[in-house]
Order: sequence, then C-alpha cells, then structure tokens
Amino acid sequence: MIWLRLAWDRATARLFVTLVVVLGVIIGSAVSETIIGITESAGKTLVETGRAADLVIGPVEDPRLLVLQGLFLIGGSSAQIPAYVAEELRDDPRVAQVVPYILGGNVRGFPIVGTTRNHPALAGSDVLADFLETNDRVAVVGSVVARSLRLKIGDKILSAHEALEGNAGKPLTVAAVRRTHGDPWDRAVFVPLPVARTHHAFQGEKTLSGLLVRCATPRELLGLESDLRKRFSVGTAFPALEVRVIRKLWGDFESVFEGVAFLVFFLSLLSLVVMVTTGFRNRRRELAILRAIGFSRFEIILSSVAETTLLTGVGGVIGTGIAFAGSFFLGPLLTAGWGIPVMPLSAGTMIMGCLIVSSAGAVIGLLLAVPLLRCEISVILSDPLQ
Amino acid sequence: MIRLENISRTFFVGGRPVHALRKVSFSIAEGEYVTIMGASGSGKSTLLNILGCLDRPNAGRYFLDGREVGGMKDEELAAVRGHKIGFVFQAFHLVPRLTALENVELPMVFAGAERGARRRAAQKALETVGLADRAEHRPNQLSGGERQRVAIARSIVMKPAILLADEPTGNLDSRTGLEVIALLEKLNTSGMTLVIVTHDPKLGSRAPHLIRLSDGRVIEDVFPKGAVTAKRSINRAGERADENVAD
Ligand SMILES: Nc1ncnc2c1ncn2[C@@H]1O[C@H](COP(=O)(O)OP(=O)(O)O)[C@@H](O)[C@H]1O
Ligand SMILES: [Mg+2]
Repeated sequence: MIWLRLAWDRATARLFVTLVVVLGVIIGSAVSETIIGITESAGKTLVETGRAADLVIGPVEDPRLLVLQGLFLIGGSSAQIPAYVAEELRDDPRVAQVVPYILGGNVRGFPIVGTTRNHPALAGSDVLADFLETNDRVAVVGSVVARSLRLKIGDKILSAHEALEGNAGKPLTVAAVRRTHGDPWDRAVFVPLPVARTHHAFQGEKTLSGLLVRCATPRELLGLESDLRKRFSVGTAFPALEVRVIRKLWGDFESVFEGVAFLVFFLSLLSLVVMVTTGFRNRRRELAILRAIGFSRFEIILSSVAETTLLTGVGGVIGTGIAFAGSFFLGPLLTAGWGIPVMPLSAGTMIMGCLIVSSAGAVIGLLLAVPLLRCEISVILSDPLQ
Repeated sequence: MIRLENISRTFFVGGRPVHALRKVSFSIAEGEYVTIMGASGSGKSTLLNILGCLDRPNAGRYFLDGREVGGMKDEELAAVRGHKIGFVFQAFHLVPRLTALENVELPMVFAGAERGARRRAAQKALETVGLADRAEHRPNQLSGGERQRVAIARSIVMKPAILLADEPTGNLDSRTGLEVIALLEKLNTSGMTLVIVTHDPKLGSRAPHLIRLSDGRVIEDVFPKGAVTAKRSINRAGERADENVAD
C-alpha cells in the first residue's frame, strides 16, 4: 500500500489546496446529484401517477387540465359533473372500477379530496380506506401534510373555508396518516365523499368533480371514451397520453437541469485538474526521484490515481450526503409549493453518484500520470533547474 | 561486479544524432573506489545514468553481478535501483515537502519495510552522515552540504552494493565538498563500491581507479599510484588535495 501512503502524503502536503478541491467536488456532486435526483424522482412520479387510472372524466374540456386536476391535484375548477354518470358507468361491462372524487377546499393550502375507499392513493390499505366509507368528519392526511402541519392521529384540522368563517365547530379529525409514496397524494387530505360535498354550495343536487376510471378491457378504452362523450357531454382524458405530453415538456426542463448539473460537476473536476497540473514540474521531478530510488511505474501510476480518487471519493461521499439531505428537505418544499412530488435520493442513486464521482477522479489521476511517466528519469534529474 | 561491453548511447536532438557514449568498455570490481573524469559534455552523466539503470544504452551490453541489464523489464530495473544501487545527485533531489528523516525513509517505503524498521534504519543512516540532530528539518531548512548528506543517507539506507555519485560536490563550496567526499570514501572503506563522477582534478586524483572520458570515449582507465586511501581523516584528505594542486 505504498502508493496509498504516497497519495495520502501528497494530498496532505498541500492541505489548503486539497481542501479547496475537495470542497469543489463536494459542491459539484451535491448540486448535480440533487438536481438529477429531483428531476428523476419527479419524472418517475409523473409516469407512475399517470398509471393510476385509464381514463379521467370531468367537466373540463382540456384533457391535460383534467389530468393535472384529477390525478396531480394541481389547479382547480369548481365545475362539476352529475353524480349519476358514476352510477351508469358502474353498470357498463367495459368498466372495472369507478372512483368518484370531489375537490373541495384545502387545509392550509393542502387540497381536500373527497373520495371513496377505491381511490388509487389508498388502494391496498384497508385501514386507511375504511375511514372514507363513513359519514364522519374524518380525514386521512398525506405524509407531507402531516409533517408540515405536525399532525398526529386524533388532531383536529379546519379547512381554509371554515377557518375563514370562524366555524370552529366543524373541524375534521385526523384518522390516519398515509405513509410517504413520493406521489401527489402525499400532499392531499382525503375525506369521505359526503363530507367533501358539504363544502360545496350546490344545494341538494348530487355532483362530483370527476371520476377515475379503470377499464376491464383496455382494448375497448377508445370506444368507451367516445360513448361517454356522446352520452353525457363530459370531458375525458387518457392520463397515459397526457403524462407523455407533460413528460416531454418536463423533459426539456430536465435536460436543462441536467446540463446545469453536468456543468457544475465538470467545473468541480476542473479544479482538481488545475490543482494537479499547477504542481506539474515539482510533481514530475518528485516522481522521477521516486523512480530513481526504486519505485516502479505501476506504483507511481497507482499513487496518482489513488490521490485523485481519494479527493473525489471523499468529496463525492460528502456531496452525496448533502444531496440526500437536500432532496430530503427540498423535496417536501417543492411538493408543498408547486405540487412536484419528490422523494429523497434512493440508495441506488447515491451509490451510483459516489461511484461516478470517484471514478471521474480515477480517470483524471490516470490521464495526468501518463505524461509524467513518459519523460525519461535521467533527463528530468540531470537538469539542475528542474 | 560491473562490466560494460561496447556501450553506446546516442541522443537525437532535432533529428541529428549526438553521440554521448561511443563503445565504452570497462570493469569495476566489488568494493572498488572509482572516479570518472572528463570535460563537461564528455558523457560522464550519461554513463552514470546507465550504470544506475536510469537510462538504457542504444548498443552494447551491461552486466551487473553477471546479469545482463539490457534484458530486464522496467519493474526489474526499478527493483535493481531500489535494492542494489544508491544514487547521489549534484542537485540533491530531496523531496521538499518531506523531512530529512522521511526523505531517508522513502526507499524503504517502497521496499515495504515496517514503520518501526524504517525509522530505525533511517535514523541510523542519518547518524552515519552525522545529521541525527537534523532529522525533523525540511530540505529548505538545511545547508547545501547538509542536504547532500541527507541525500547520501537516503542512498545508503537500503544498504546498496553500489553507490553512484554524479558531481556530488558540484553545488557545494570546496570545504563542504571535501567533507562530502570524505563521507563517501568512508562508506567505501566499509565495503560499498563507490563510483564518483567529477570534473575536479583535485577530487579525481583521490581514487585508486580512474576512468577518463573524452567525447564519449574512454581515453584512460588506470590505477594511479599514490592516491589517497579513504581511511585518512577529513583534514588529512584536505591537505593532500591541496598538495595535489600545488603539484
Ligand atoms: N537527454 C539528452 N538529450 C540530448 N542530448 C543529451 C541528453 N543528455 C546528454 N546529452 C548530450 O550528451 C552529451 C554528454 O552529456 P553528459 O553525459 O551530460 O555529459 P557530462 O555529464 O560529462 O557533462 C552532451 O553533448 C549532451 O548535450
Ligand atoms: Mg554531467
């Protein structure tokens, strides 16, 4: 492990420069990994959320708005569709499942979603879903809501509407907290359908904001959709299709972000290259001395690779840690603020990040060692000025 | 121990050949004290670099302990440099960021010696060159003579069979230079084969075996009588050198 010692010696000999370089790598990897982690996570959520329903039905004509509203809870419209649409769809053999929803008000900015136990956000969790089959004023809150408002089971919450009216007598009781999924529903407050309906001023008339539909036979999706339009004059949207369009749009952002991430990372590596090459003459002489007293080429290459890998490795690990913290704390902010659901970096992404950063260091070390070794030892050492 | 047969070394400068060594042949036995002399540019350094396996000849054969060096791979040469040969340069070539002790330890680091063993050997080598009290100094905190003595300590820490010194006094004043030469001679009397390159006739006349180069050729390979043996003290050696000049 001579080469490791050599590398360590050289790195610690110019401690200040080394620290600056490590700091550069930390910043570079932290920023780039945060950006990439967030864009990736957002892109993934987009696709996965788009799969939650085959068809979204609502009053809005623009299918994209319909999907954003119905699945991503972004943007709102007070327009409604008649509730009997849901009843009739349930009898259609082509339909496997109909989930009605009512978007009604918010709790401190977190949207309230009135729905039934079949909502895709709650699928697979009977404990959560059962609360929605009552007429009680209960709420299942998403993890981001719970974290932001410091809610625990049994706490009372007021919708913005009621808070305004000072109607403290009609709070919702937190019945359950949905665990983090990294989807738009992390920021939702789910309530039973009838409870949501009371928020609306459509006296007596039974209405819904929309429906999430799963088809029994996907091949008949198109036929079903055109039937619906004709029979009920409602707006329809295919989430898979819309998500693809949104993703394309988002993809442009993503490439810009990733470009920025790459640039930042590149600049931080450049500081490493500058550090290694500024001492080129000294370093070359030193390596020549080492070779003259018995070190082999291989050991010297290893030491050079080890030195740069050490710096980028340390920087990469710390930077990745910061990126994790960044996505952990920034994620909920983005989710709460703009509805972009972001999960903290996954273990896989973090390991990849560390590996990429360290191996970039190794490559730099290797590339810089080669010209040093191409020179003749005797030439370097016989020139007293060197 | 060392045998050269028709060694030639040609450099190409701007496409034109420079014959630094032309068919050089000689032998050096174990434990000898040899001085290589010659005018500047006569090929002394080139010769010493080849002897020290820092450079390879274009033609001819070099036998070291009966093995032909020309057939060795790069890694083997590195090992030979590390174990068999100690090199002392005119410009000292210490690693500036390391202390004297650490510089002396370096060759043992590559040999994989343990920390404790390294320390002890380096300390002992520094004692041999009379610098035990400068162990923690960095090269820039040492005088020229002291630096060269540290370099000598580094060259002997692996107990090499051969010590090669290229103008070891070239950057030193004459008094300090003589001390360094005396130190090298002391090492020779303890058994190391010593080869010193110099263009200083005062120093050259001290060795029992003298090889003179001119324009890349050996023009003299003699054992002149009356050369000072290495056993004399520094002062005696100094006087003797002065006498030689008077001659
Ligand atoms: N690396 C080299 N490239 C080109 N020419 C060289 C090189 N090394 C030495 N020479 C030439 O070889 C000749 C001998 O040089 P050198 O061995 O350094 O002489 P000395 O040490 O006796 O002064 C000189 O003419 C020198 O210019
Ligand atoms: Mg020379």
